[in-house]
Amino acid sequence: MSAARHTILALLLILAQGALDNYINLSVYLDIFLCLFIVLALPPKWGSIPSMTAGFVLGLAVDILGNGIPGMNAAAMTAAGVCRKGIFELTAPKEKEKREGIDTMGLRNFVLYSMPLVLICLTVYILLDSSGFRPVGLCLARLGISFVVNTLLMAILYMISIDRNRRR
Amino acid sequence: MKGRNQYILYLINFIVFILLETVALRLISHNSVLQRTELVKSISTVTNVFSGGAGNISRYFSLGKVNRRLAEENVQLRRENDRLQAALSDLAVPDSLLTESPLFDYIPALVVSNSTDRLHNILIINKGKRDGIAADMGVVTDRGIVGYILSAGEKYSKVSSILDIDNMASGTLTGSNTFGVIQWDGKTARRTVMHDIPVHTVFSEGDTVVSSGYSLIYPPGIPVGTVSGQMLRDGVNYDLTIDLFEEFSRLRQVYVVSRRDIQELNDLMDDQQEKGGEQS
Repeated sequence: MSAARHTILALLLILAQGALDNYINLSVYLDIFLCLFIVLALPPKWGSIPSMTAGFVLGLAVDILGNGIPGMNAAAMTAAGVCRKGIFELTAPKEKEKREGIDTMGLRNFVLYSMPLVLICLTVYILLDSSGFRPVGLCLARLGISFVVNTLLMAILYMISIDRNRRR
Repeated sequence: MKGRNQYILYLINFIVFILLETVALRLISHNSVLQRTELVKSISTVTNVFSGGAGNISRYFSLGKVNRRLAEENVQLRRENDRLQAALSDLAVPDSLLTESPLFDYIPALVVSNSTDRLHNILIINKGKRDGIAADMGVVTDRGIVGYILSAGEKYSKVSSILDIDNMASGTLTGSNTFGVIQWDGKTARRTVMHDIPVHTVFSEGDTVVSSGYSLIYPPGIPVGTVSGQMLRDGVNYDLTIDLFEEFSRLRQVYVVSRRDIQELNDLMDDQQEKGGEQS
């Protein structure tokens, strides 16, 4: 994914996340992390520090735009940012040409790549939001539903955003 | 080299991660009372665990210092005890006139070498001439007589243990106030023998034996052990078996006893010996 394309996508997703947080009342069992896709789509050669910083800044932007408690999204997306490179290394295909970016890794591998990061991000967010993990039942349901929905959303965003020419 | 760089990189990543998460958590705690309460609770739990562990470690490493402080405190208490005992024995004299300093000085020392399995057992202590140690000074603990200084080096001194078959000390049976000679029989480090107890002496097993004070070496009243057996010798005296209070195999902290008027007493004894020689 080119830098320009990535920047435009980032801006759009931040705005969409802000609108979602401000104007749409979702269930208490559902937390949407559209901006996580921006972290997932960062170039694989980026190290953990740039990924973490990007996650932190994006999370903070979402917190401010979404009128939430500042720091919640930032903490969650920083945690995802620190693990991004390691998880990419584990889930990307072995072939060198397919490891250049998310465009070339294929949907299946992308889903495998996004799942643990979605889970990390949600776990940190729910942990902070519910100040622990209480009540457990509600938190687990929230985590489960949000995980499924966010993974699907990441897959959809992947399908929409990837550079098809490059994928071929 | 590559592995080292990798390690440094991981470390930097970790530090940046902690930094960013700290900033995020600070923001959260500043903006939400509930989250702040829970965060403070979690942080205090973690810090309590760490400070508890750190406290235990530092306490462990400061045990030596504590031990030295206790030993010094013990010396002070012994001096005070001596002073009070002297005051008690001079009841007729008003306290204001008792300006005399305590009779015994105590120098704390640590045993650096010890033996209990020979007939002539000796100890080495970590104090010597430069600490004021001289030959023939007594060595005691709060649980008994240990021996006397055989020779003093600059930093270390050799002690003839009470567990030496040639070493003798004067003891008193507290129940009957009878004196006897304490001399080890070489059998076990847990027991010694008190000789020359007259047959008419009333005593029972379990009676305590203390140092008599009829020696120039040991102060009076140092506990030695308890009577655990008796044997009639020559039909006129008992030999009492004494269970020692002090465990010599675990001996560590001792006190060297220095008698302040030792020179005067030695001079007196020398005079007496000279007179005895002239008369004969």
